[in-house]
Amino acid sequence: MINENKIYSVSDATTLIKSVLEMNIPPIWVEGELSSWMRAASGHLYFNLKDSSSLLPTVMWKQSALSLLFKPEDGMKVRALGKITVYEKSGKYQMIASQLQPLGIGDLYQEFERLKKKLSEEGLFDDDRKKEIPRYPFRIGVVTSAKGAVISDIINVLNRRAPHVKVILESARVQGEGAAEEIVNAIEKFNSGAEVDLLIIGRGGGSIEDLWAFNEEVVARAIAASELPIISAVGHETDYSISDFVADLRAPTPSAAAELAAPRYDDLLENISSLERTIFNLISDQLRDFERILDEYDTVYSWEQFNKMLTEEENKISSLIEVMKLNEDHLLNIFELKANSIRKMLDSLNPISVLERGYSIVSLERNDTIIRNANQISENDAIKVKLHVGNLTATVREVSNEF
Amino acid sequence: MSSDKNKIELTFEDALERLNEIVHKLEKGDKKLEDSIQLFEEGVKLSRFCKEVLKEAAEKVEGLKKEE
Repeated sequence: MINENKIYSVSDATTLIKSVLEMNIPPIWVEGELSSWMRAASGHLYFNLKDSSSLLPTVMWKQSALSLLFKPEDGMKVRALGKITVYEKSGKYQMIASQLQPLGIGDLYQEFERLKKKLSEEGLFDDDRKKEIPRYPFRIGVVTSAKGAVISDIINVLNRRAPHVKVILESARVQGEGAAEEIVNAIEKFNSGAEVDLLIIGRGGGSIEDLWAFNEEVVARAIAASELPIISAVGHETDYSISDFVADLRAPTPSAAAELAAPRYDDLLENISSLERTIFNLISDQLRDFERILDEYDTVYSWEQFNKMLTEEENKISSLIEVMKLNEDHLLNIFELKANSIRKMLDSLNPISVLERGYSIVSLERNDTIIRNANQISENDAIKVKLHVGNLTATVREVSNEF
Repeated sequence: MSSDKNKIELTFEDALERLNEIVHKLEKGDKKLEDSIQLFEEGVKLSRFCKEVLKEAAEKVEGLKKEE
């Protein structure tokens, strides 16, 4: 009871104020603008709610702050549910907020979470239904606004990086009324005719309202139904949309989507050239090996008529190898000319046919020297034995020079 | 590439894959020279096919840009 004649101590007066305020005001919803927003190291949020004439200091404890679906910013219109408390030490009152919702777009957040949950439960985000992004696309379809920065970003990246890739734009408005339908139509149009290897759909950064078309269920379903693989690039790196979850690949930005989609032209050419060099080198090695085997036969079987033929063919192979060193470009033609004579020779003089008769070729493992004489080899040397079918390696147990 | 028809229908990706396969086969080094030469010839044709496809595509895109 308040006694008008009583003299109160500061503490008693404060206790009185505290009890009047705290007992008479139940938790209330307060709408206002966020200001002086701050997150303390402890995780608690401190901010003021204000309007044109008043200010209400507010605290949100860490536990409640964890469940926030948005990032509070000064100037944002919000609605807070809270209880008024008095802090005796400083004689100030404040609100302890348990809930905080962004105004206007609060519904969008709820809708986002609802749809995300629904589609996720349907399995639309599952990895096993993601289509593989083609590794070497030549034509990329883009669904975005013809007026936006996205299409020029993508074209710039591809011009620089992959000038062999053709970009086909199907323009669609990417925000506002009807945008979702236009995006759906564009995706369907690509799927029903235009010859492209994959699609990039996206738009630049913006508020959740700007990005909303990419959170619409019709768009999500069109992406899921697309036979063409789709890369989704909506907003900035930190923005996630439903489209990103359904698409086969999410790119942080539209430029990144172009980079993810197309390998570098120069890298591709270099890769092909390097494979070509590798097969040139491998065939040269094998021809040299073959030449060496012919040498060995020359020694082992000194049949004169055979030698004569061998020499002829050996010369052809040697000159082939010479030419190969000099001019790779002409090699193919020379091969075509010489292939027949080489084949003929192989038919009559296939080293395999000698092996077939039960002979083997023994060589030293460390340098591939073919062994003809026991003094070429010592105990414990590792040797390779080429048989008619297969090869084997062995270690020498004993060396004897007897014939 | 057994016939011209296959050559036309051969996609860049398939060609590059086959080229890689040929490199692996030749690297194993267990082929008869005759077979190796055949693989080699096929490989060279494939690498030229891939390069041509890339270059032609780049020229076409360049041409389209000029038209615009």
